[in-house]
Amino acid sequence: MSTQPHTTTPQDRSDDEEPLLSVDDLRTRIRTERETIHAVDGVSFTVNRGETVCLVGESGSGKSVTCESLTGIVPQPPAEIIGGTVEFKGRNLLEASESTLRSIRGTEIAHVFQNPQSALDPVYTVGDQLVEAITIHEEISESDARERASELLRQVGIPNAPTRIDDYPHEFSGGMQQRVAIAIALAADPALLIADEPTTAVDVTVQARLIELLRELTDGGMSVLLITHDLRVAAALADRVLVMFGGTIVERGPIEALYSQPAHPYTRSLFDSYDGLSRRGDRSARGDIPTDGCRFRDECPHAIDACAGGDQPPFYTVDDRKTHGASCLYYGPEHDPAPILHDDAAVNTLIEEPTDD
Amino acid sequence: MTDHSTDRSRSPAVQPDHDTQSDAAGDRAAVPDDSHPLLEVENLETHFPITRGLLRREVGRVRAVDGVSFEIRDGEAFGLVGESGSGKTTTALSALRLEEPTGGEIRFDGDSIMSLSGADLRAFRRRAQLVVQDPNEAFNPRLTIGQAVAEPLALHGMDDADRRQAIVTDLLERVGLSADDVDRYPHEFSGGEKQRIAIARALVLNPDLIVADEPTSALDGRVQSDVLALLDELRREFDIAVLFISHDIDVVRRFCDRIGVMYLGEIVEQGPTDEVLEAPAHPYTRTLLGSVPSLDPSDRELVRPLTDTIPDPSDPPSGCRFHTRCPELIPPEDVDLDRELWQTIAAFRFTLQADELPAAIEPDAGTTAVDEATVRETFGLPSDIPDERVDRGVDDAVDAIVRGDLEVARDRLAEAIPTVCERSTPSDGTDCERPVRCHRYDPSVDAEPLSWP
Repeated sequence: MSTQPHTTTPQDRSDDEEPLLSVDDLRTRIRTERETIHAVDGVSFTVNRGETVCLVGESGSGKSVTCESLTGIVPQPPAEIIGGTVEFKGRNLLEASESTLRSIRGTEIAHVFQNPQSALDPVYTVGDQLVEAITIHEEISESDARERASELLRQVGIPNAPTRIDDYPHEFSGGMQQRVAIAIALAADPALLIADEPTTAVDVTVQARLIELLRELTDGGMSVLLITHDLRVAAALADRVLVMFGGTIVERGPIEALYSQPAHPYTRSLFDSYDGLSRRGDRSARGDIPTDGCRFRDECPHAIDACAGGDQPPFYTVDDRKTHGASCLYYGPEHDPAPILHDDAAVNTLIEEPTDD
Repeated sequence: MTDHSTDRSRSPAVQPDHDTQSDAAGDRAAVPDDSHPLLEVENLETHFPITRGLLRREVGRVRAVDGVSFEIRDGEAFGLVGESGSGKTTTALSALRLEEPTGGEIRFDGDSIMSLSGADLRAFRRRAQLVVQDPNEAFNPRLTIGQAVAEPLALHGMDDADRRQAIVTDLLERVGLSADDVDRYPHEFSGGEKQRIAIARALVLNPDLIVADEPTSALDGRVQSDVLALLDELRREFDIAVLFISHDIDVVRRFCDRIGVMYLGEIVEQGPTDEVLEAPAHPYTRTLLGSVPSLDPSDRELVRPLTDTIPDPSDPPSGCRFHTRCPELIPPEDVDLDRELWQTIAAFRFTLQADELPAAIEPDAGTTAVDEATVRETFGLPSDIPDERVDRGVDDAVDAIVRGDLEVARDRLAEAIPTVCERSTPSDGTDCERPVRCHRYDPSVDAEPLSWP
């Protein structure tokens, strides 16, 4: 059977290389009539050039709000970015004017969403939409823009691009629509693609092709910030993973390290949900997530008094790997993580023992 | 739990004759094997007419379900997996007669349901309940969830309001909500909670079968896991059979005893879940499983079908419906090429046929004409193929592409590399311990099953 092997980019980049994107202590809250939600509550991470960083978590974990805060596309109000810095190519996007942000969104940072229809206008042909995206950022003749539009469609793997360019979005299948949305995102040759659940609405055979497309883009030097709830999609694409819960990052590390030794009890429960049918205890389904200390403590079978209060626990290294950290007291100097690591065999059965490298 | 909880042993007055079933709860072996299956689906066909013009003249038919057979025993969970357009949802709805089948036979508890109507159809539907994917669509926003769950009881003739209330309260507690929730409205609940309530409502009439159409697809992570575990727990406790529709292999693996894999209206393979998923036999099942990324990040291989185009269900390919995409397509009998080369040539043929023209050979891709070398490079075709007839066919096709005559190229390839997969319709093969609709499992066809992985 034909297969496409993929080699990962090295995880250990030299520390002195300036990251493309550097997010520090980002905080976004959402005010509704009834309550204020701390959707993003002190999130820090970096994305290097050519790297795929994956933000993993369930609905409501804050992963989408995090990414929408970076370029200011989160609706304000009800959202309000109340703190932190987002440095992109040396400037703080949180202090940039709306017009600067708009220009960066089109040219340097592009977004792709779960539902490609949100990026496509049903009454214009995909060619018109591509040409528009191209000419906004580039002084270029109409015919050159059309030529480039065809090229973009080819680049994202749409067969018969010169003919399909005159088709309307509804004439494409869901997977092809997502390719068109990616082509529009690529129109200005962005340095960073922020993709929020880009494969969630498509079938697995289509997803496999989109995964290959995203790999080609990062192989070409683009950085990708990928948001997904699907641990399999992250495994297929990420160089590094950030696991989010309750508006905070609870674990982070290179994909291989984190997947072979998931450390935070929340991460481990996520892996558990891929196997077996064990129900969680009698956790209240409507329980509010704490807004201090470890946000997961109310659902954590290992929680201790010290998990409550103050800031989230610091990132302690897991397994002596400097790059793999968990925001969990058990990995600190005063505790022993053994009870967590031995808690559940299911986690390890999911990942095949690495064959000798 | 309230005091009423024990009342619901097996339940509402509507169906006293099934009370004894709960005794067998959780003990699957207790179901005698010689009994008839609860649900028998034989050669089911559900076609939708395509009409045109004022007179709505029928010009074609979408063969959404086209000759599907399976059975579900008491208390068994049977899964139908497949991608969009495979017909799995139509199969499920047809099994409940929520879509009208155009052919075949469906028996429930031994009796045909094909011609039921009126009170008989209602009685059947009391015993076979549906849970849908989107819990938001399942509820009337103006009814409290207590009213919503009680509604089927009232509709089916339980007049005693106190009794209804007791049953509803008990069921809500069983699905993890509290008695206090009965007076709340659907919008006050999360997606996972709403799906729990939908399950409670499906259970309230004490059914023998639940048809669950992607019941956890709108949920993710642990919430999905919880709802799935709940459904599993309840179906074992009450010995309810489940027809489970899903596109998600992880979900099916955890929930179903047996599965059927659907492609373009047919079940291509069915058997015990573990066997099908661990040793998939049909090339489509293999392609499907090979497309799901591994949880092991060092294993990033993804299987690729010959072509990406899913054929139109109103005009499915002749022979085996998967042949236009099948990586295990059977070569002509007298052709003996190594597997990779044969795949390359087959991909060449069906890529042209599906009109998936790669950029390099598009007719008006650029100003320069396409040359032979470019065509060969694009499709990975060697200049010499160690089979005279195939070699000539490929040469002719390449020449035709260079001349811009794709039609001739397609015809020439079809003629040079015929395949039994296109020519004849496979039946469920016997070369495997379970039904696999592929010529490689048919002893009369000169082709062996390929190994997996």
